[in-house]
Amino acid sequence: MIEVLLLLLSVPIGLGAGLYFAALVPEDGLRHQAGVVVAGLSEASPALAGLAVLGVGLQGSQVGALACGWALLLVPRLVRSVERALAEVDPGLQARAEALGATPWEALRTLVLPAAAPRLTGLAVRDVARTLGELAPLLVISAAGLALLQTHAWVAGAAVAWVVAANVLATLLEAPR
Amino acid sequence: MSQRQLTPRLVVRALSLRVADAPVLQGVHLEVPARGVLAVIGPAGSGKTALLRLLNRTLARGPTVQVEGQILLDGDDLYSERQRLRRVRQRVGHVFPDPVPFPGTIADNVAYGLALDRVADRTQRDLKIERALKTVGLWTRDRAELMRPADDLSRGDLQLLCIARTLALDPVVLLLENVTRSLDPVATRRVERCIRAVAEHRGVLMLTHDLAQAARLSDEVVYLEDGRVIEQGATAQVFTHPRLQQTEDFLAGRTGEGLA
Repeated sequence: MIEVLLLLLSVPIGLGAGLYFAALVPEDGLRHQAGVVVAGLSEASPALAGLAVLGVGLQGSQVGALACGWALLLVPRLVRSVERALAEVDPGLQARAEALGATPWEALRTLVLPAAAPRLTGLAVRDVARTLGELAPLLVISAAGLALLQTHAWVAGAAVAWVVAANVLATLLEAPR
Repeated sequence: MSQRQLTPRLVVRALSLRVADAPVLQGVHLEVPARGVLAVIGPAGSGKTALLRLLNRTLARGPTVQVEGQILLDGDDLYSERQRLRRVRQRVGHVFPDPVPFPGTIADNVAYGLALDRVADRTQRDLKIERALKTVGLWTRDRAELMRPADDLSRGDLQLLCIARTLALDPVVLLLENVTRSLDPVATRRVERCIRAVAEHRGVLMLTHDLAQAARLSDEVVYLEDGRVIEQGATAQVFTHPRLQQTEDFLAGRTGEGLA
């Protein structure tokens, strides 16, 4: 049940988290740290999701494996896309609406979001399509990996170590400075 | 003339602002008249914008921002706990230097603040929109004109629309922040006519870098330098016979000489 919810809710969770961080949280240390984590995860290679798929798949839940990989890849990407879409809207809209008495959320809901909607829709559709495309081969590979694991456990250990090392390297290289 | 019209409705007492321990405003006293224009002039970095943004609580607050003193509107402290932020901003209207239209029509723009306040009575809402647009000179009986996208307006008309958007909420005081900065001379004259019309019914506090404009439009002037009020008084007196040498130097364009 949780796995199905994760599959269904990843898009609203990603969009909601993006809106929260981009428009409603003050620019303090927490926002900066969250931004670094999201930037790293959103640029992380699908190998990270592959690990999740393999790890949860080992517990015997194929839907769970799919949901974890999906959420891990999609949510950070959506957060970044919301940030990008909102950054393209004139920041003056928010300030002017608040000067008329609107709360930050009212200004966001009534003016900024409608203005950002076309760009945000395009970016979100791209994120979903990209994630679906990356998840499909991972599922196939992980199914093959599972079969191998059952006969030679050391292969899985080596594969996991290699994937972790490659992913950490990729994240470090790709994270914005 | 009633007593209420004569008494200043916005009073600033001993207002000080420090940001990251650096003084931005120091012991500012001023009174915005119930009607008429008060111009705030001063060199860049003198604290004009910070002062204006404190008056309707749009200055970003944080642990490094310290505010002391009082801002009283009809005797109510705008920073007291029981003041609702929305109400403060509606009573002290603020128009920004660059006109930014909201998505939608001209009428949508003027109705924005009213919708936030849930003015449900359509007749009452339309009346407020009409009154605001008439004051700024954008009113037309042609309904189709009011349903045009706000983006279609010229830059000068957009700034008038932004003023109308604020006036629709019937503010007690209107704060104008360099509102003609990005306008051509013709549009500037239209906005100035509008400011005089607005000032017949309410107090206007206007920040401007254009000294000729301050002299043309205002009834009283405050000269701010390094966060302090250096001189204030009737416009004619300050511009023709300033009491202090500092004011005279600024008006003559000598402030800051020798720094380069």
